[in-house]
Amino acid sequence: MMNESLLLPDFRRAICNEIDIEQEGRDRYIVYTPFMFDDGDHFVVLLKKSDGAWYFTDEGHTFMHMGYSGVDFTSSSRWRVIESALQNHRIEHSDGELRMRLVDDHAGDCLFSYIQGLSRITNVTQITREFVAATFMDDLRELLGTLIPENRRTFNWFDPVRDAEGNYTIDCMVPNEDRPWFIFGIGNDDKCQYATVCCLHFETLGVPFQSVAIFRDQPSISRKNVARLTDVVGKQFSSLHDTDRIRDYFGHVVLSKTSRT
Amino acid sequence: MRPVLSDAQIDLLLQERKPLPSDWRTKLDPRMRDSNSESDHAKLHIQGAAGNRFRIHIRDNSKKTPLDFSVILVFTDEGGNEYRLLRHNGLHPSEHTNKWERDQGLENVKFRKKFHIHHCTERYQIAGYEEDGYVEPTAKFQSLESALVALFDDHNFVYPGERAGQGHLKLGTDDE
Repeated sequence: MMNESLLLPDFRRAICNEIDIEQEGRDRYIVYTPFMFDDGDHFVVLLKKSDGAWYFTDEGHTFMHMGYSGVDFTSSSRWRVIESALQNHRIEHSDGELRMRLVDDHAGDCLFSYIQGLSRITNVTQITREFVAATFMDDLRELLGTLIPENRRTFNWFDPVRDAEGNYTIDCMVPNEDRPWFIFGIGNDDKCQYATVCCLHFETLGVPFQSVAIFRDQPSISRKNVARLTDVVGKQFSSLHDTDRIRDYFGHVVLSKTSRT
Repeated sequence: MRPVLSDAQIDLLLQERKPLPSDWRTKLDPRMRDSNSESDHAKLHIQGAAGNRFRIHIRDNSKKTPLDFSVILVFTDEGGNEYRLLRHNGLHPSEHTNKWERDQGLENVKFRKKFHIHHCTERYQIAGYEEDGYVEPTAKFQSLESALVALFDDHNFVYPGERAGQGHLKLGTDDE
């Protein structure tokens, strides 16, 4: 059986040897740790003094490295996970840089919390496309909630008179004099076909309306389905990513007093 | 599951003739910042002479850390699977560990703060590691621009109207 009195010092030495610090300029130190990205590049951890306080910072490297994955980690669902990690580990985010202020006498705790936070943040690139697809409607609803005042929107609206069973439910309806806006979230081919059918249905009934389709990822939808929807829907956005343009359109067109397309 | 690219396939892809479009300089200027990105980045799609699809991707974090950049060559197969064939990296203030070699108990698997190249390898893919987890330090480049030139010179990129290796690199101006 292993002798604990011999094991523990070796264990401590081995752990300590994995952490190193090297001065690189005035008030700037590189902290070497064994924690790494999946490709073997280690996390960048710098200890820097700024405005009289000491900080751990990655100088923007973490987000740059996450960009290699090709995964859009600024999408709403992934960004929520990042924000949670930032909050839980008291890490500040500013222009891509992640930093944490050192608390006196707790440098070790701060370092490990900072690294744990970086680890949680980098894991966001592992969140699958399926997960993002699954949260698309939640993300859309959240966005529309910020764009349209509560008293001017109805989620999951259906016509109580002509469609009491809700067979042609609209993701979001914005009343507008005699031509309401119908807003559809298009996450997959089935939903694309459904939105097309809904628009045709209301056209057939002679119901005047205006419509917007917001895709999760338009290139992932069959071209034929997109073409059919294009024939009947008013405005389209190819992804939720285009937030500025969506925001602009809703502000200037959908919510304008005399909105007509 | 993504198919494994063999070392022979990787070599063929790297050797494939890759004509650069006339506007490659502006497209590869990382100062043309993508508003959705936290670091400056740029990308350029290229079709190889054998019909394979490549993309060069540049990420530049040098505003925050001098010489922290990446020049990445990505291959997209017919099924849409992407492979990072090469990554010319700058000086990250951190270490790198070659995980596969570490697992074999080999020496010199770690190094610090060196210009380096990530290589796509068959063995890393089979071991379940990132395809470009194998890294070699390099003296071929010392800046983002020279990293791009090294990529062009070593992997059969052809400048518009010129033979490979004769282009004059200055990002941001298309004067062809």
